[in-house]
Amino acid sequence: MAVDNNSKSTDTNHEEPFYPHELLKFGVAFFVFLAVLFTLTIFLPHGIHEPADPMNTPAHIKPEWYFLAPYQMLKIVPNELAGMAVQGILGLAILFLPFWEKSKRRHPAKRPIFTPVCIVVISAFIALTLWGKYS
Amino acid sequence: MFASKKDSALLDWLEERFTIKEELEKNTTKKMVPPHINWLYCLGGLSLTIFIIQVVTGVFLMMYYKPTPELAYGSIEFIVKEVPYGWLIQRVHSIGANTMIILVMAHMVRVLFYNAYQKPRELHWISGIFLFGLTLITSFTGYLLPWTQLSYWGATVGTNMPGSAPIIGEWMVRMSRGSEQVSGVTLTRFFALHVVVLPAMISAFAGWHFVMIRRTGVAGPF
Repeated sequence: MAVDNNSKSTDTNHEEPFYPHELLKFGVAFFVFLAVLFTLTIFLPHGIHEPADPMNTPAHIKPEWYFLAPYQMLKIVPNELAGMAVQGILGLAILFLPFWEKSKRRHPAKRPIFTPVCIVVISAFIALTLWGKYS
Repeated sequence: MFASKKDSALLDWLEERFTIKEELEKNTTKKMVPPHINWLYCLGGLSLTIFIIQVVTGVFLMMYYKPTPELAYGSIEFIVKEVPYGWLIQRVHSIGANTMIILVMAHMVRVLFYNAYQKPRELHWISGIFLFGLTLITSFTGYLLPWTQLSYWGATVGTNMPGSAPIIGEWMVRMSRGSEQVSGVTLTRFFALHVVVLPAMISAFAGWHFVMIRRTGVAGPF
């Protein structure tokens, strides 16, 4: 039952055949996903887009939603350089996460520091995105 | 199934030429996974699915798209209004881009809370972060291509962001735009990155990602 995450071997701890059940599960997920994508495609409002006019700056220009959080963060940190530095450090910390966070415990409930930190960081990302959108 | 005596003639034909049965068995009937793999383990596969959809719809869009400031907007309008099913291809591509980011983020959060990035899977995580970054840059460069007011000023704000970095900031802004302002040079630059460089890089990193997860197997449930 308990799977040793540190095991190097591939199949010794793996007990269920991938085919057909796990493949079928993915097949179901695949078709549900396609249904959602095409439903969105057909029913989301189209929006009217005017052609670009480099001479005419719109009143509220914002990046796309996935850049709103870093954008909003740069806006609220008074020192631009400090804002960039924080983002750079955060990016590197996430990139090299497996090299500084080495807990053996797997279950989120058994990681009393890491799990709350993750939740705070993800919540901050969502909050900054919403803030950027509605400010 | 594949090893049974009722194998099809086609399978036998292929077997004689490149011993396909063993590979098929290894990757299907004889491939074992941990018990209680749940639905969240589908997120990575779905990210690949949407990437393939983006490539296919992107190729169709490229058949009619014209990457110049004068023609870009009109060519998208033509695709949406005149080309048979062009509206569908264009909509799937644009909504698919956002969907892809959401799926990749969800996949990352799943791996994070399952602590699935620990030894020996550190490089899986690192290649995944690169894939996430490439996904964002691909979306960003694609967003400029329709040359609408939103995309033009979105690209202006976006390319301005590295400007506050010390020493190389100004240079990065200039290099990403190719000119002082976002212009036709930026458009062709973004187009080349969006349709060739970035998808090729995503394919390479994804290939690495998949080979590694095949070698180590997925991290089991808790």
